[in-house]
Amino acid sequence: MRLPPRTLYRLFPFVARASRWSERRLTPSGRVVLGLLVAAALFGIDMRQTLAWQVATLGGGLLLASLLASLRWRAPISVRRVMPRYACEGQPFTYFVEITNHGTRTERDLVLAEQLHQPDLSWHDFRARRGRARHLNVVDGAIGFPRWVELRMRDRGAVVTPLPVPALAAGASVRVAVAATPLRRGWIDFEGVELLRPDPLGICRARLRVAVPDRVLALPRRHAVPALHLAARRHYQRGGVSLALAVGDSQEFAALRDYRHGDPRRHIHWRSFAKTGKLIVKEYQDEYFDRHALIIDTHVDPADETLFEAVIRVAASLAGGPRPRDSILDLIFAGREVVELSAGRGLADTGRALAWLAEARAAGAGDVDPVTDLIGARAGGLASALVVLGGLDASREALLDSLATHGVRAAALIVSHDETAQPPHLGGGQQRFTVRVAHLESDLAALAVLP
Amino acid sequence: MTTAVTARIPLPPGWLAAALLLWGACADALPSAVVMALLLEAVTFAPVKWNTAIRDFHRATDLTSVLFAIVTVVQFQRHGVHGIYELLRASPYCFFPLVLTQRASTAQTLPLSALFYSLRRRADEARRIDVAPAYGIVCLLAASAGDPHPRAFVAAGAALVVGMLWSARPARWRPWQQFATLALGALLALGLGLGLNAARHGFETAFMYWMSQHPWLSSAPNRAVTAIGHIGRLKLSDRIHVRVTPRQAMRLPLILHEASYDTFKYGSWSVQESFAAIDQERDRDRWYLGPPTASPRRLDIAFLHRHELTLLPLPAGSFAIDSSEIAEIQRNRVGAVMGEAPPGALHYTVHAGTSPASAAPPRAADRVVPEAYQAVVARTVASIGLAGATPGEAAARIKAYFLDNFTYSLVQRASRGRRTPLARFLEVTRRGHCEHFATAAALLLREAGIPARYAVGYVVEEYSALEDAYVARARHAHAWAEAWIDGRWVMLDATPSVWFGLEEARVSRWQSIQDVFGWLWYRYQRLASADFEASGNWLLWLVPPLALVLWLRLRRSPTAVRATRRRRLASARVPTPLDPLLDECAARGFEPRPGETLARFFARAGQAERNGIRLSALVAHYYRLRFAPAAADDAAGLEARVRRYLAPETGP
Repeated sequence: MRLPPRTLYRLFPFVARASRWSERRLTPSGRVVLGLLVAAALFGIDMRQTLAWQVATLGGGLLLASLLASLRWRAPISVRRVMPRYACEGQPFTYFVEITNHGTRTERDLVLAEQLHQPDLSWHDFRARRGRARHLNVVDGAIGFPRWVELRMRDRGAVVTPLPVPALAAGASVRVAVAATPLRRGWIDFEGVELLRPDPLGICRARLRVAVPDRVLALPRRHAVPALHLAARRHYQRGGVSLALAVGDSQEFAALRDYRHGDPRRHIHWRSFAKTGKLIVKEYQDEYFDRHALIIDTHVDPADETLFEAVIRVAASLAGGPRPRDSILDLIFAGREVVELSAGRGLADTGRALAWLAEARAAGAGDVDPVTDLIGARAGGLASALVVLGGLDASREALLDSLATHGVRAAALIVSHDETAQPPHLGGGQQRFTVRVAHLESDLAALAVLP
Repeated sequence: MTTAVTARIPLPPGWLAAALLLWGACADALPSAVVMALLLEAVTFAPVKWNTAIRDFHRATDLTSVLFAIVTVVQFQRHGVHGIYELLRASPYCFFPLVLTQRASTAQTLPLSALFYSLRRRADEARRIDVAPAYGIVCLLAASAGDPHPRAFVAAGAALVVGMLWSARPARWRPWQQFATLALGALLALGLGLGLNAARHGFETAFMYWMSQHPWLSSAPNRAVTAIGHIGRLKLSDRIHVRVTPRQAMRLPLILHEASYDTFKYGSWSVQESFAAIDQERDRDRWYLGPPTASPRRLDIAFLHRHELTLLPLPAGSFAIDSSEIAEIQRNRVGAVMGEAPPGALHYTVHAGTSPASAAPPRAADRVVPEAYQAVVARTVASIGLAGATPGEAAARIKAYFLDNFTYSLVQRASRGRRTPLARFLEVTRRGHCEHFATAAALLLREAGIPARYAVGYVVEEYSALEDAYVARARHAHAWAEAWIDGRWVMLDATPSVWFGLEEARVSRWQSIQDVFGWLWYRYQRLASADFEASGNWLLWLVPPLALVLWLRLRRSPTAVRATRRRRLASARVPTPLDPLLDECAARGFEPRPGETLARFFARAGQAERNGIRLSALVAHYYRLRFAPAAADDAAGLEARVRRYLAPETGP
C-alpha cells in the first residue's frame, strides 16, 4: 500500500479533531447548519452571482449564537461505571453507567459519550503497520486517512457510540446500559465520560467531563475447534497430592506421618490426633495425571499484526476449546523469555488462560531454542504438545524434533499468509497443519486428527 | 439499553415542499417545483410505501449520480466556469430521485452505503442517513443562485432554517430562552452580513486600484502575452480552433484578424481601450461594423469558445456579421470585435469587402518605443537605413530586412548576458517566431516615425475534407504588425513566409485521429448550443409518464406495503398494558421501526431501570401475557407495574 506524504500525515490529527468536535459538540441539526454554512460560503464567494453568502451569514450567526450559549456548563453530576470482568474481541458487550444528579433541577436531553484512552500513533508506527486496512479503495489507500483512523480506533480498543440519557430528576440516579464492541484483544482503558447538553437552539452541545477511570480486558477472538482427542498418558507429577486430588487421581493410602507445615487440613487423621494429641496426616502413594503443553511462538514481527493476531487466535481457540477436564494445560510462551503458565481444574480456569493470551505481545524475530531446552527438562511429565508457530525454520524444526525424540506426541499448527497452502497438511512424519490467516475459521474447523 | 443518538431530524410537515417552492420561485422553475413538491408530499402521505431493498437505494443513488454528471457536463460546456452556478441552480433536479426514493420507502432513511461506493462491499444496512434536511439545504442554495428578491429570499431562507431547528428544539429550555438565543443569532448574522459587504467593497476597491497600476495583468482581449523570451521549443497544439466555409471562391491564405494592441511592456502587448456595443439591425440578426461595399464575399466562421465574451476572428474588410447565436457585439477603437454568446460552438456569417474597414487614426501610444528597447531598435533602424524613407518604403525595407537576414524558428536557446530577448533576437540569434517578427517590426516602424501596432489572428490555408471546410489550428495562430500608411492601417507580416510550411512539417501522426474526435466534439457542441434551448422544457413532460410507471410498478410490486392496512390493523389492535410506555417513548422522539420487536425497541429507546423496576422484566411479563396466557400473571398486575415504572422518580 502506498503511503501518504508526511506533510499530509501531519494534517490527519487536525482533521480527526475537527471531525470528533463536530460529532460530539454539534447536534444533528447543528451538523446540517454547519454544512449549510460551508456550502453557502463556498458558493457565495462571488457575491454577485448568488445570494448564498446571505445564507452563509445566517448559518454563521446561528452557529455563533449557539456556541456562545454552550460555552460553559457546570452541573453537580457524578458518574459510576459497572464493568464486566472480561469482554471478547469483536463481540459487543454491555456495561452500565450510573449517573446521579446532585443538583436541584432536572437535567433533560443529555447525551453520554465515553472517553477512551487514545495512545499516540507515530509516523514510524503508521508506516510499520501498513498491513492493516487492505479493504480500502485506491484513493483512500493513497490518502491514508481512513487507514490512520482505523489504526487509531483499534489502538483505542473499542467503539462506544454516544447515547441519550433519560431525564435526570434532581437528586435522582439513572442507570444507562451502554453497548461497546472491542476492536482488539487486551486492556481497554476508559478515562472518563462526557455529558453533553444542547443549547436552546439545539445546534451545539455544552460539555461536562467527569473522570471515571476504568478498564476491561478483551479476550482474543476464538474459533470453533473440534474436540481434540489429546493423548491420555498419566505421568507422575511433582504437583503433589493437592493437584492430583483436583485434576488427576492418587494411588492408595500409604502411611501416617507427622503434620508438616503446609499439609492440607483435610488430610489430617483425626482419630490419631484424638489418641496422640498431636497432628498426624495421611500419606498417599505418588500422584498421577494428564499434562498437556500449548506452546505459542510469539517471535513474530510486530509490524505483521495480522499474523500475530492469527497465532494468538489459534492458540486461544485451542486453549478455550474442548479437552478432558481432568488434565492440566501448560501455556508456554516462546518470546524473548519463556513464560510458562498452567491452567486446569483447581488452577486457573479457561478465562484466565485466555486473559494471558489477551495480554501477549509480539516479541519480534528470534529462535525458540530456550523452549526446546525446557521441553528437554519437562518432557517426562507431558502427555502431548500443541505447538502454534508463525513460521517454520531450523530452530522450530529442532523444537518439533525434540518433542518427537522425548516421546511427546505433538502437533504443529503453522499459521501462514500463504493462501495456496493446503490445509490440513501432514508432513515430515509428524502432524503438521497449515492454518491460513485468511481462512482461520474453516481451517481450524477442519482439524480432525490431533494427538 | 438505550440506543445511539439518532441522526434523524424531525422536520415540520411540508418543509421539503416549502424548500422546493422557494427554489422554484427564485430559480424560475416554479412549474417543475410544484410538480416535484406535490409528488414528494403525495409519496409522503401515500397509503402505499415501498419496501425498498438496499439495492433499490443503490440504484436510486446511481441514477442521481448519472443525472448529476450529465448536468455537470452540460452546464460546464455551456457556461464555462460559470457553469458551477447553473449546476447549483439545477441541483434539486439531480437529487430528486434520491429523496423521492427515501420518502417512498418504508425505511424512511437511506443506507449510508448508497452514498459511499466503498461501503457497498460491506453491505452494512445499520448505518443510515436521512437525506431530507440536506435536500432542503440544496434547494435553499439553488434558490440563492437564481434571481430572487434579496429581502424576500433572506426572509424565506431564515424561515426554512428556523423551521427545521424549531421542530428539533430541545425540551429542556423555555421558549423565551430559545427566542433570546434566536434573536442573538439573527443579530450576529446581520453583523456578519454587513461586515462581509464592507469587506467585499474594500477588497474590490483595492483590487481595482492594483489592476490599474498593473495594466498588463488585465485579461484578454485587452492583453496578449507573447512567448518572446521563452526558452526551448515552443509547442503548439494541432487542435482545430476555427472553421471557415466560404460561400464563394476564396483566395488563400485567408488572414483572420482577432485583436490589435498598442502598448508593449515586459513581453506583453496590451491596449487600454474600452469596448462599445454596436446596434443590431432591427428585425434581423445583423450587425454592421462599417458601410457595406459592393460585391462582398461571404464566409461562414465557426469556433469553440469558453467565455461568454469572446473575440471574433474576422477577415480584413469585414463590414457585417450575421448570427442568431450572438446576443451582443462590441468593438474597440483598435479594431477588435467581441461577441457575447453562450460558451460552446459559435457560428456566424461575415460579409467582407475588398478594402479594409475603416479604423480610428493612430494615437500617441502607437508611436511609443519602450525605453528598454530604444537603443537596440535605434541601432537596427540605422543599420536598415530608414532615414528619409516614406512610410511605404520603410515598411518594404523592414520586410526585406527580415526576409534576408532572419530565419523562422520555434526554438530559442538560453544565453548569458543582460540583453532583452528582443535585443537578442535582433542582434544575436536572428531566429524567432511570428511574435518576435511582429513585435520587432512594430517597434522598428515606430522608431522610423510610422505609427504601428501589434495584431494577432489566424492564417487559414488548410482544407479539411472531413469537415468540408477550411480550418485554422492552434499552431496556425499568427501575429503581424499594422502600420499607418497613407491614412489607413496596412498589414505588415514580417515573418518569413516559410513558417507555415515549417509548421506543417511537424504535424503529429495522431493528427487525423485527433481531428475526428475534435470534429465529433464540435458537432456535439453545435447540437447542444442549437437544440438544448428548445428542448429543455420538454424534459418536464417526462415526469407524468415516469410517475405513472412508478405507480404501476408500486401497485404490482410484491414489495409494496399497504400502509393503510397496517394502520388499520394498528388502530384495531387491542390496547396493551405497555401502551403508556410506547407513548412515553414517542414523546421523547422514539418510534418503533418497521419490523422491530417490542423487546428490541425498548432496549434501544427505554430506560433500563426506573423506580426499582427493570424494563426488560416488564417486556418479559407482557410477552408471557401475550404468548402464554395460561402461565402469565394478570394484566392488571402488569399495568400497575408499568404505572410504577413511569411514576416520577424520587431521590435516592
